[in-house]
Amino acid sequence: MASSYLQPKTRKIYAILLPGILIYLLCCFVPLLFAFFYSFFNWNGGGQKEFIGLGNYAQLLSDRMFWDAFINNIVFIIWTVIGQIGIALVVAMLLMSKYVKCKTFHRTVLFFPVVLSAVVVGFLWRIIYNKDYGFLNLFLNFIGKEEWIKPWLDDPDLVITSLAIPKIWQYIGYYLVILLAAINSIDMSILDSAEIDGAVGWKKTVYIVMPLIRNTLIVTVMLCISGNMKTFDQIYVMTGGGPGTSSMVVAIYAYQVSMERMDYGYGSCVAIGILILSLLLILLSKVAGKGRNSDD
Amino acid sequence: MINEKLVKGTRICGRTIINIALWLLSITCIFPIVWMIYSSLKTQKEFAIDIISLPQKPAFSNYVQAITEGNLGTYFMNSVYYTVISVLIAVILSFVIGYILSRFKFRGRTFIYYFFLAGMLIPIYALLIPIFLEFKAFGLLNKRITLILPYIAFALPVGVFLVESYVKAIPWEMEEAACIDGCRFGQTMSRIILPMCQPVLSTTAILSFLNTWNEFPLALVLIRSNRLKTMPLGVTNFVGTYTVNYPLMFAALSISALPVIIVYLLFYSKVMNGMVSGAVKG
Amino acid sequence: MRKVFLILICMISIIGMVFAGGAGESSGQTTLTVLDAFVPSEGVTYAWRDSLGKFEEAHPDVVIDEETISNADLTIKVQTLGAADELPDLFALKGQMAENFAKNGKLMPLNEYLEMYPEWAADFKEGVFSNFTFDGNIYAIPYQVTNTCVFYNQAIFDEAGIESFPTTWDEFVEVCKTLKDKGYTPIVLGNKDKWNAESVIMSTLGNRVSGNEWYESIRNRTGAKFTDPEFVGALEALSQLVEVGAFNSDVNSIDDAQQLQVFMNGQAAMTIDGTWAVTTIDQSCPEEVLKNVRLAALPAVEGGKGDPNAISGGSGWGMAVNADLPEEKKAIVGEFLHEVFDRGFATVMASYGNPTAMVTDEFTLDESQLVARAFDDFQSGRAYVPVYDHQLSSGLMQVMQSGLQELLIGTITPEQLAADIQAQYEKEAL
Repeated sequence: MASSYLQPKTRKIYAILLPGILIYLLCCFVPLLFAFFYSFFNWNGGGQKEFIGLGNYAQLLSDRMFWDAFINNIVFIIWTVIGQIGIALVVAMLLMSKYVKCKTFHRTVLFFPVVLSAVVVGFLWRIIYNKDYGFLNLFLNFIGKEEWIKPWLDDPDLVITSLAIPKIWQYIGYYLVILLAAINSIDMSILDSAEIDGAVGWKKTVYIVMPLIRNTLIVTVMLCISGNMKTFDQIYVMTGGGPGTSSMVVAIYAYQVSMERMDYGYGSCVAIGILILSLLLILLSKVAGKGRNSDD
Repeated sequence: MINEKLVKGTRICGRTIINIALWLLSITCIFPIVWMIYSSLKTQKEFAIDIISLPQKPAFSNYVQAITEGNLGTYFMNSVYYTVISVLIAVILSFVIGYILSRFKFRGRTFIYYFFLAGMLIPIYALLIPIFLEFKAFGLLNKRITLILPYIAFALPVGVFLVESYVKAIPWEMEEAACIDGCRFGQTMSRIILPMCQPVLSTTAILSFLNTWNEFPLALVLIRSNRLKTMPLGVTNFVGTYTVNYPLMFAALSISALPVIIVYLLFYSKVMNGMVSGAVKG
Repeated sequence: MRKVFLILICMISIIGMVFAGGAGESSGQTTLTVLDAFVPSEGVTYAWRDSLGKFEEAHPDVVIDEETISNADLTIKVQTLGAADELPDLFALKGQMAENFAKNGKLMPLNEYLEMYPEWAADFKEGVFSNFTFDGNIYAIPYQVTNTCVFYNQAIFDEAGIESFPTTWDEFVEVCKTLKDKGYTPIVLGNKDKWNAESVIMSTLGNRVSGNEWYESIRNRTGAKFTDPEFVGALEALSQLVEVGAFNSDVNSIDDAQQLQVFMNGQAAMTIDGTWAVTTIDQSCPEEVLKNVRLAALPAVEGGKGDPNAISGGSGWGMAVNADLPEEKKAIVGEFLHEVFDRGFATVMASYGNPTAMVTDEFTLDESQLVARAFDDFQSGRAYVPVYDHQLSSGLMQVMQSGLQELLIGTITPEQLAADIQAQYEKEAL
């Protein structure tokens, strides 16, 4: 892609990249290597670390709790990728269209939930889901759908979905900002000419805008997967992984192993497991994204 | 004729529905902030009895108490200091790295990409002890620069990936034209590409400000002096061993949410400025 | 554009450097670093401030360099510092972490100090050191005690025609049924944070059935099993309550604060909670409910081996000393511990309605502290039984607490839960 006469010497490239990479190496990558190193040991904080080779990894492979938590993460990720990015994309397109009034207002307030702390969001949604005075059940009562009333956070089969909805709602604004920046970079004349050609509404989005912001969409999906593999605060505040372990996710599990059981060796192993699984998911989504594109 | 009217009618109807739906979504986004603010004006007693109701008489003293007891003045200034510096540096570095990754082919390019990706994927609680040990070895604990380094580092991946994907969409001809005009690499980057990246850099600034401002675990373990601590640490001052003083905590959280909203409003017009300044054609 | 950025960065950095000058330590002074969880507006914090002020006045040559963090976050910090050998001189330690820290040699035994000041040692209540004692060594000074009891609303009991608080488990289950039929929530519990059911109910109920011997055997690993009838029986007793619908249906999704809210609004006849609830009820409960609040202990279980008057209680937190404390600081730390955590400390704490680890001097409770006064009467002369999560391992607690959530919604049987806990117990023995 790059014309060779524009490309600076490789040495120069490395020199320019160096400061950023050094900081990142120091604060992120070296600690990560440490964690990788610990994952081969049995260590509970004392002076002695006992080398156990792949023992922790063997344990991880047969750790039901971890894999159950991972499945919860997958469900959570499917919900949030569709919900967060999907809704954000729709809203972004609406905000670019001429049918919507008060655009500035909408753009401004849709970001508000993002700045709220997980404590506030968790607290509020627990009130919304509450059985007695919860807004949701009051609303269902009001519209005469009493049979839809459910113990939203108390039903082990329902709880992951109930937790995904606040997460989707909270982060629409986050992805909206990213997508708006990308859509704004599209040359408006393309859109205008498409409109003359009769491409309106959904067609415009799917056939013209989506391919043009494909790179950004891939990054957005990547951020969404990594963010939701690490999802912690809000679930911790709302259910703590309960009832029982039905809403346990991998990040809470890693936290419990390291910080509550003080099993740092196995905790590091769980964290590395999360890293590997996240990487796989991201690669998978990239392959899927590219595959669809080549069909076009 | 009738058919045309019908089409027009459905369209108006569709527009109304879209507008109403958007308004509903927006209202759900305002309510939590309103709730947090009016709850921060309640007495602890009022809050303990009813979580939803309005305060009978707004207790502004909560804010005074939160600021003095939580030492929020110092913490707030510290947070501003750490966040502004880290975000500035992170945005510049993300731009440079993202630009180079998207434009040039060189050995190690893929490696650097995954190098940044890997750090994004590991839960922070697994890194606390390693980072602490490392900073201890370098004598970097509990200093004014302590938090800035990791904050830059943790803001980099998102910034790099956003810039990288954004620059890819910019036609290569821009730089070629500049090159013919005699611009060298550095000039091309700063004069041609940088202005065009305003939307994505503003986005990066907003998102990294948000993450840095709210960062908690690293500030907790790497800092011990009160004069160096940050806002999120101050907020937890109202979490007791068995009970939480919610109104005071919400007062602190309201103060804490304000800068992020301000930064969003400031940068967000830049997100929307789009390509105006860069003026891409073709 | 870039120049502006650079200038900005430089300016901010310079300003930063100016403020960064560290506080120098003048010669002849000793600095004690302390890490604690004494956050504002808690009874224990008033006591700490009061005692600390007196200590600083009496020892002008000692500088206390204190860091305060809320207790949930403190455990993370103490663990990180512990793993990196960077612990401060004194730090607050959670009972559950004590065994790990003691075994890893992070803690200094404090027996010497207690022997040095025998009158001080004698002031501590019986059993408060048990969470911090391993192989005869005491590793932390407890400063706070929590108990649990049943709070009930006399007006609702009267309305339902219940004459007195039941004394046996069968009666208790009957009472719950009666209350349920009257349209009240018999017992409101907020078990969202998972520790509640285990800490405030099972620790006491378990003892009612199993008695002390079984528990000692579990703790010392001398043969008892969680699948023994002693423990399964206790789970079955809890299960009986679940079967008659004694608990609120959202038991696993509301928290401790909401639990009290339901009780204080008069919608529930009973709530089971720790002594931290006492202050909240006194401060926040509407008058018409407050005057009807009564206290009781969980009833005896038929055939159980436990003391029916005992309540669960213990010291969840204590002040520990770094094992690597420099020799020259040892004397002053001893003075610090015995002068700060003294009777005066306990007395101030008690005057805010908190149970204490120590005997207190005379103190008066305010007229408005109705429940605090009632509790003071209620607890006198009662034996304390240990709280499970103060002493048993976190891994075991995670299994038990998660399992109790399931038991409360009937998705696991007592036998199955007991087997799960036993499996974890055996795993940890390896």
